[in-house]
Amino acid sequence: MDLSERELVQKSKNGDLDAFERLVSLYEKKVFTLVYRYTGNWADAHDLAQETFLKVYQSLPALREDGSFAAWLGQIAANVCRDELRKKRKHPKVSLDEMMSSSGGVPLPALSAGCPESALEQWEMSEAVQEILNSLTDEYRLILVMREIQGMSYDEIAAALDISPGTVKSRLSRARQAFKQKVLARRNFFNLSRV
Amino acid sequence: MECARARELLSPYLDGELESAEQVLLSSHLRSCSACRRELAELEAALGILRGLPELAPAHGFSARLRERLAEESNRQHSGTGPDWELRGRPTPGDCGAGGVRIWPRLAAAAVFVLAVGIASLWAGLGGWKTSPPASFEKVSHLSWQKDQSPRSLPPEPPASPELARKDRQEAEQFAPNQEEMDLRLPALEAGGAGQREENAAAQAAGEPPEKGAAAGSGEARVAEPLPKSPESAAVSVRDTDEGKAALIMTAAPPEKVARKVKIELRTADVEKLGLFLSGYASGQDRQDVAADPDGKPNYRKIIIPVSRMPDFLQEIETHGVILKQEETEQDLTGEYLDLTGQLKQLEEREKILLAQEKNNRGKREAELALQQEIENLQAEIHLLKERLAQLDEQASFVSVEICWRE
Repeated sequence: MDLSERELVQKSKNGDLDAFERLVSLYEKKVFTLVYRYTGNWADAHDLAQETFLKVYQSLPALREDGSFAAWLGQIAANVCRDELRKKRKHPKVSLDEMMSSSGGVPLPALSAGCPESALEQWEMSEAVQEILNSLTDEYRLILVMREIQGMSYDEIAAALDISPGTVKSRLSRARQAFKQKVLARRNFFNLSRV
Repeated sequence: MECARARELLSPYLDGELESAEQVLLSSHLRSCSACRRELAELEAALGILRGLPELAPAHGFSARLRERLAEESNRQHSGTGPDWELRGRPTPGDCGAGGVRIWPRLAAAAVFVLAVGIASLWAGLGGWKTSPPASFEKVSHLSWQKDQSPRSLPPEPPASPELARKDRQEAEQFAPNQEEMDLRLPALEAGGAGQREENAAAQAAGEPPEKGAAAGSGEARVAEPLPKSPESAAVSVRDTDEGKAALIMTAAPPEKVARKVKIELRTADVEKLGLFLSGYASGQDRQDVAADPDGKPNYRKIIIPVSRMPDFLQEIETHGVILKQEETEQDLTGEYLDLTGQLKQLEEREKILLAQEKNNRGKREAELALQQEIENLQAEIHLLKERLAQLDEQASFVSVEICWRE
């Protein structure tokens, strides 16, 4: 019988590792996608996604009964990524050549037997957008991912980044403008010629 | 509404985050301005691409490796060995266990380092994640991520709490006498706690403001270095004055970038002389703005005065009548200014790197074109930031003075 998410969280809190692994299987793609969009590096994303789940497991007792597991998990993933980005700013290790290869070497997606062209197109699109995200400043990328991919509200972003909601509004506006300009610079690739 | 202002508001407009008055003004502007409508459509289309990105799956082996690490973690928790800070560090393939680190910190750290480097080299040689089986794709469900979301009830993430960070530091100092060991074993602490404080200290030594995000990771850093006021925070001081006594209410130690507005109610015997005086104080024809009073009072003027001329202005206006009421409003722009300055610095550094790369890639047509495109985009972004900074500079350099008078 399938257990509800709430039951899985409760069992995990009581130390049931199987239950926690089932929670991981429910959310691993979401978490992995999120940390990849934040960091833009395939290898780092694996490492940071694992770190996120370990932190979640260690911190489960702090999750309140009425708290949303999904939102809490997303918040921890965002914190893990912010820490990593700060660390990289402090000790940059990326060579100039690596900066040119922004995706950090993403493997090709699994090509489904039904429609390989469509999967390939999706992959190309995904990587092109990621290149644009990587070319933005950390601040812009963070706020865009928080809002557009994670779906956080202005108040949540303000709390997570320790800035005022007004700054969220202005920074998000600038980040979106910067993103839009870069997308429009490749409007043919993104099929935006009619917009 | 001007197009420039309308475009600033498009982003919050899409999110339904505008005040109702602004919402009405912008909607009305959009009905009459095709260029802004196009801007809005482009913004929506670009964001649609971002929101529609496919969900990614990690490589094979991810779950198995995580299971192993969770099992180790669970064993540690149940056996009760190992302090919290060990659990919060990022485990590495060369992790030698709690006891080892406790007893032989230097040796353990060195062993972890050697093993990690060795395994990383081997991994890189084999292609690491890059040669892992391909990922699969699913459309991201924006809403499914948000479901059951009650953000205000979220508990704080424990590793980020000041108490734990302090405890981490105490234990780290006890068992790791030098910085290299701490860097190896306490990545989370280094990033959000002690390391961040060092970064701030270095930035302050160089005359830069502390990084705002630092406060999230370290309570002590927050106490030691108060953050600038939020850009939207405004202070209003109102004082009714006795006849003949002007009262300018100024902040004792004004922050770096503050936009000020002053409203003055005046009783004058010579309206014509007052008008001439006010015209003389406007900083130029283009900065002077005469408008009808919003409250319908007959005698009203708004002028923009350089901050440096305000003391003279206030002294002199007293000679033209009696100040009945004086009100000053401040809007602190420091937070936004510092934020933008930091971003600008980052972009300019990146621009330097790209320009150097472009130089090195001359003749390699494809790489050169890609770099030129990147540089062009970056410069456009730098230009936008500089424009906004100049706007903030200007707002902070002038005082908007509104004067109502009666005879």
